[in-house]
Amino acid sequence: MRALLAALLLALPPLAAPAPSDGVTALEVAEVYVTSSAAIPGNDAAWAPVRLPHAWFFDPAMSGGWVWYRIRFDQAAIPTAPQRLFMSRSVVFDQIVYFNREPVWRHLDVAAQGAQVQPVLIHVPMRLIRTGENVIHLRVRGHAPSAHGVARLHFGDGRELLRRAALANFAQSQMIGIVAFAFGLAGLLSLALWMGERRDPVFFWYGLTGVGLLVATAIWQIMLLTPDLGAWRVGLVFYRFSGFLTPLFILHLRLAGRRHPWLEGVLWCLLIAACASVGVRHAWTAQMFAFWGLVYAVLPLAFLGVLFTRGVERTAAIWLLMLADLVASGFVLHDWAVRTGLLDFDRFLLAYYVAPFIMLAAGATIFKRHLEGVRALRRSNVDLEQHVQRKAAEIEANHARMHEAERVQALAEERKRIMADMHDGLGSRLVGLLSLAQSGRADANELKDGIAAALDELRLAIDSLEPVEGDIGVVLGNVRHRMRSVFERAGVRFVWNVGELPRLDDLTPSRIQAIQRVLLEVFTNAIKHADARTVTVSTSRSSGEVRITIEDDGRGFDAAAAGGNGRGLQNLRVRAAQAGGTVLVDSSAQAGTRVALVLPYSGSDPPVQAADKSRDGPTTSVVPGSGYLPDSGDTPDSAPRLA
Amino acid sequence: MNGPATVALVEDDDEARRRLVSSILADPGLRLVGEYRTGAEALAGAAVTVPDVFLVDLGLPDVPGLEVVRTLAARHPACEILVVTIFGDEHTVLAALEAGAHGYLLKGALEHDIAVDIRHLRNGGSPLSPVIARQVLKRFMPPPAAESGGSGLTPREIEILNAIARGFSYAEVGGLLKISVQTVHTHLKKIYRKLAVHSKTEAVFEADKRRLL
Repeated sequence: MRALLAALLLALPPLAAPAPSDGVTALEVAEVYVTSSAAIPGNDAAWAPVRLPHAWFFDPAMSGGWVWYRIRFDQAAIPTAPQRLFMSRSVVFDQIVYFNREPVWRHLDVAAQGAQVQPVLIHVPMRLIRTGENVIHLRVRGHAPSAHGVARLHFGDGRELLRRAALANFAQSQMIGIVAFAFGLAGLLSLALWMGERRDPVFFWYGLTGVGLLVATAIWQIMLLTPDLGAWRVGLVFYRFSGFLTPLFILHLRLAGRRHPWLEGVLWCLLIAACASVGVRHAWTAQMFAFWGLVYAVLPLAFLGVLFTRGVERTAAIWLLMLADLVASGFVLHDWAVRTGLLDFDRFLLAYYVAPFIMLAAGATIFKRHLEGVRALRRSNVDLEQHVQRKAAEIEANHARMHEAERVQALAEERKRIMADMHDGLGSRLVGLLSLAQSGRADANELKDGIAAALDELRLAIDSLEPVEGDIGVVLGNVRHRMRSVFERAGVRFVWNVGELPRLDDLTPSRIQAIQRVLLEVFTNAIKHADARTVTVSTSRSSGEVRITIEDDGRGFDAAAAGGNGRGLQNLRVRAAQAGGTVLVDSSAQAGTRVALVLPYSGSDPPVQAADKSRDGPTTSVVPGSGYLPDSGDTPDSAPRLA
Repeated sequence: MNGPATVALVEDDDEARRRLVSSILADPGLRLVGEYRTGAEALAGAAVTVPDVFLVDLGLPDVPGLEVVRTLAARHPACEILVVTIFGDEHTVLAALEAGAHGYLLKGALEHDIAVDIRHLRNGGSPLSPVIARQVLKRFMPPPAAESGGSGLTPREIEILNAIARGFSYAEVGGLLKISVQTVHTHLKKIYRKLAVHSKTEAVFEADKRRLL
């Protein structure tokens, strides 16, 4: 930014005063004569010697009528190249230039209310040039508000003067338009940014300033091209300034982070007044203009004073902006000096560049703000991400803790269950045996059987803890395996029709034990009480349930004879419920007994393997009021041995 | 098998040992050739006379029972090893099978049953409980990656183990799969061998993996 500023400052001097070069003569010796006559004054008129450039500032003699200039110079020889006349700045309306009493350039304006100041390039026909003395007459309307005076005339090489004219035109007209357009676009961009996200009002004000600059410059260009604006002229001129300066002032305030509602209100009133003055055709426009000019000259100072004294945070942006303001003020002072003749009148005016210059500085600030905003967003994103990660880690840790707690809890519950089971089953058996042994009334076989039964119970309990993963077939097979030798000794044959069974959900050790006990009970009864020769075990599956059917061909029991729900049947029902299912018993004397254990399932089917020997069992029902067998085989001494 | 099978046993509990001995002596098909109290004695004795069947109690005072099994299986592959266990639980039996045993006996079984079980073993395989059959199946799935010599199970072997897992007896398995009981026994023997190899292979694979890492 600073480099740009330096470059601009260095570029100014060459622009300001073009160096004299060959082929071009600067005509500085002239005579002036003020008259109301529109005709060329004769040589006997009261020509007063004067030096060009001639600044009119505050010179009352130059007001009113026509101001004639006579420039006489010697031409040594007829030049070969085309010749031109050039003035770096001149009033372009109501002006005539005579070369050797022939008009070579005229620009007449009827209304002539004020004038536009532009470089003037005049082509001088070769035939008019004489060797020896040549005379140029220049007529300018006096009291043209923006004229301020007459610049040097340059006469000479057409190409060289063309070049100078082009440069002057560029610097004083086109460049301004280009720059205004550029900053206008920048302003529009800023407005678009602001509209997208109403975060920072500075973007809005910068945008408005840019747009105001664009509009002001556009109006200026239009005014250049339209000679007769009539009543519009005054208002447009005022609007040109306030339309741009008002947002610029407010932008300054916003950038400093300040709000001055009263000051801003005044500015807006001025702007509105400026707009309202469009269409006002007033006699004392010059005074009004001076008033406005004064207002706008004073305001920057007031504004700077506000910035300095109110203890605004002095960021680099503020310093840059204030520096730009100072430089811009320097531009204005420079122009004032040029117009009043303190500086060479031919210098380019810099006031046109005040606006773009400040816009550049402000733009840099805006841009930095935008970048900072983006960076802050990115930083907050990173912070947010980190925060989220931290939270996620916390949640994970929580989950892990919860899982651990659940695991510990599950283990504790399982431990409790096993302990309770030990207590109720094995513990009570052993205690019973001990008391039996202590009583001295038991015989050795009783004790042997009792202890063996306790050992079997322990083995079954451990079996129930083995991992089976919901495979009920393994549970069935294991009970058969354990009872293998019992069946062999009793001479009872097994017909095993266990097929592929689906996986049972949640086949816990306690459920497995309950199923084992059901099976054990039924097998025991088949062998001991029913005197069966064959026990058939089959399985079947229908929607949502698995059915294990145990059928024996022994003595059934008469439902009525047992009289009510016997302890055995009740026991079976309890065990079946513990296993998570139901039990159905069907029996008749001499036709055997059929017991079905029905277990629900909702898990997935295991992969199909060997031959499926499942058999659909017929539905059985509980015979109401039927007892099972009076002796359910629950006592230790009647339990058979397991392998 | 021609003639009575020779049996040796190692059991540190005197009473239990006495029962085993009397059971073997009572069976005409079996002939006792050695009874030992410690693992060292057993290994030394086996070096002198290799019996057909060796009963190994897992709770030995000097050497862990499993180590005895492993050494016996390594030195005398022809000797069939039965471990004696209280519960016949999956963990113990599988460990024993993986160490090279061929079956297990339950402690506290009736004297008559011991001899029967030993003869069953001689005839080709001590009956596997369904739970253990299932665990054997699990051991072989998923099939280990770096396998050589096909020590995974054949489909027939998987079928047999599945049927045993559902509680079918060996005879019934034969009936189901239309093969003789002897074939079932043979398959089971192969399965045991594979189990021992598999566990060794797994150990090697694990060691390899660790070395690679």
